[in-house]
Amino acid sequence: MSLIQVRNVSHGYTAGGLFSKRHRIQVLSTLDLDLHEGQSLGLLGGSGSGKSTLARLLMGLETPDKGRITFNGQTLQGLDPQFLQRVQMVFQDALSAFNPQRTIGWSIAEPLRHLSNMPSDACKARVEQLLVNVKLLASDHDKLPSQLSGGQLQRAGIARAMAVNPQLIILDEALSNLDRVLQVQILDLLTDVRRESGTGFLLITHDLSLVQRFCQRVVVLAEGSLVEDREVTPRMRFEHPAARTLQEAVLPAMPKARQLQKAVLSV
Amino acid sequence: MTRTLSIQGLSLKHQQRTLVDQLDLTLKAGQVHALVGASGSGKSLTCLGILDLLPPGVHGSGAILRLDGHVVQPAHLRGREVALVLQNPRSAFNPVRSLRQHALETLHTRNVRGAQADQLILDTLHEVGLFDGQRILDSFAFQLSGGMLQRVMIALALLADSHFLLADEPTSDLDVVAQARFLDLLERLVAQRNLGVLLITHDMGVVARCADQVSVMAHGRIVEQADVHTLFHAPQSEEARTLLAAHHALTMEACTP
Amino acid sequence: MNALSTVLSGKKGGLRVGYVLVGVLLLLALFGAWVAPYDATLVNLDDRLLPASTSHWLGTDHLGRDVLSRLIVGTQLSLGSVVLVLALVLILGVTIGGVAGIVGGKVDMFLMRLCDMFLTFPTLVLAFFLIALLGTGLTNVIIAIALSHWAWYARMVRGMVLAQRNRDYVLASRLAGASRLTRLRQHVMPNVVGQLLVLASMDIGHMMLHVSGLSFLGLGVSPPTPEWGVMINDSKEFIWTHPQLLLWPGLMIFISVMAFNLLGDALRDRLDPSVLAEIKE
Repeated sequence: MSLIQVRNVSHGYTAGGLFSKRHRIQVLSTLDLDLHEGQSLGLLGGSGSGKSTLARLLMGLETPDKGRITFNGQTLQGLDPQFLQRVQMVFQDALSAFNPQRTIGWSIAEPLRHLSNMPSDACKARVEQLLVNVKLLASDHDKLPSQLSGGQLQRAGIARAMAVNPQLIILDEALSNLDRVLQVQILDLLTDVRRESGTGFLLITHDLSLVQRFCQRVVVLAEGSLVEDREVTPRMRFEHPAARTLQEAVLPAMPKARQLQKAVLSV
Repeated sequence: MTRTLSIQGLSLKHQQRTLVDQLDLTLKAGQVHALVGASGSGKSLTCLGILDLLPPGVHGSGAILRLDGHVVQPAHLRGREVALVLQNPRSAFNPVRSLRQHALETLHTRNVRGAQADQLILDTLHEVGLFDGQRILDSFAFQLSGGMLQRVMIALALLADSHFLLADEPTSDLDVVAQARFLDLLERLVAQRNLGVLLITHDMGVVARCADQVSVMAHGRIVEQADVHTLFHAPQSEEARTLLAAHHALTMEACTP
Repeated sequence: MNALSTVLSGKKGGLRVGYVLVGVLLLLALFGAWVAPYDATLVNLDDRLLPASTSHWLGTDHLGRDVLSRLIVGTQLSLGSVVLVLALVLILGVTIGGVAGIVGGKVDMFLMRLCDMFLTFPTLVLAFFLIALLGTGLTNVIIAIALSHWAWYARMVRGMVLAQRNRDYVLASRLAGASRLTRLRQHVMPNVVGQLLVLASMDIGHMMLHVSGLSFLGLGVSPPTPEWGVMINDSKEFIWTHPQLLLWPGLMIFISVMAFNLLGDALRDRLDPSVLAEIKE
């Protein structure tokens, strides 16, 4: 069953004003997308393809100009608590996603305070359990964001998104600022989360290798519309030119054969 | 004769803490030398340390810099023999000056002026794959994308007639497509212009894509130095193995035919 | 001397010196009347213009009053008036700037034009004008200085509120289901107030000079009352014969300005995450 249905959605921004003529920039045009429960879907697109706009629409932060987004069969209108209990988001820049004056534990407990009726000692226990789940220490509860590294903070961000046990977590370029070692660690962590709790994920990224490691299905966004939608398999090949460009840009696993030959010859 | 740029015994300290410890590096013209390591291993500081552009509070000591075997002062190399490409190109340009002014300023130090300068600038932009030269020159840094700005940075390095390029995570802020194009460009210039490049990165994919030599850094030291094939087929150090394992976890599946 | 310079140059050292100085000043302001060796307003014409001695550590002034006692007792008025100015400025600035930033639209327009009106005049000229309207006296000087400073703070607060509202952690809090009021209370305002305290603590010195300056001109505290600006004003006739009479209150002003600036620096390092990040790297 679809958790979120996107039907015929078009959206854009008004740009210009002071120095140039006001004009409307169309970002998404007549887009259809189904997000299934418990699935991890990769949303792949280059910069300027409209990925982030789609994320904001799905998160209910903006209402589409045209078309309809439904959540469990109901039209999505703004951020009501029932919706937020089911859908949460992890941001790209982990450091700016935490209030610098509050402890990590306080920030992770924020969704629990507003979206659940948990008493405060149960909250604390839940946060400590979440911290352990994302491979942080329970003692990190009282640390400030500036005392953690980027990778640790991003894991804390995931813990915050997991706090209310949502059905879907949107990762908006949440791994792009991390190095490879951390990316793999976090993806493995998320795979465990999915297996244990059945949470669905929407991984928004420009890097196909992350999708290939983590997702079951991938859609490719190019110039405001979806150009590919397929199962992720080890040998899948995109057909649309824009999607192929993204696929070919993935860095090689091993150094090139041409250089290898040169090296062999010189030996 | 192959031109070389080498640094020996580079040590950097912040207060009592040693950040980079007795580091030796040699760049050869026509080769890409990759410097890889986890964040905090001191790779970026090494890059700044070579040109003596250290942040306040960090002190270098005892480094000997040689260009083609002759001892030189870092100040004589900056912006001439050696150019720097940074991770965030936007902050590397003066926001209130157009890119034309940046380019002319660079040529000014070489005493190239007037129509000759204009032509040279357009040719160089063409060479780095920017075909809309006039429009780009009239733009300011904030009007262009990150990928384009990195190309302009390279163009400026070519205009300064630099033979060595120090690139500090040049593709970390770019999306994969822009990254692939940038690395293509780098590869082409190394071959055509005989540039020597120090490529600092944390991504073994970038290394596999275009490096010839690799130095693996950890805790301020070089723990392994090898050519790229040796490193990928038989990594010796713990750090190299960790980096390669993560890289292969993400790419092996996608690339095996 | 060497030890002192190392203490002053270090970041931690500056913080410590700032804390200690501000602490001493606060203690003097609160308990000065008990600590002072003599009655600060007691006139004794037999002992006028005495040099420093064991009985009068800093000597006496032209009316035979003990200078040390006057300095100590004066702390309360000098600091107290500045604290009052600051409180008024912050209340006005945070309220007006906050409302402008949060409500936006026409209200924002109106309040900011009001700020612009106040900002067009140099602060001192505006203060003189207000004193001319309200009359002299310490209360009026405090009101005048506060009124000539608030607009600047209101603009700052508005800017900070707008910047904070667009931060990712405010959005994260919104996604965590926090209401608008909660977001303002828990995320926007604490960070605004943090930055504001830093600015204010650096501005204290500036305001202290204003209050003392107006007292020196005879507009604020009137003569028998001990206050540093008044003390300088009282002794300006003796500048050639007994310069120490101007030196001591001047030194007190200097020390307090420096103390609050050091404290401001330290607070900024504590509260500003960007500076923190830089130090860490």
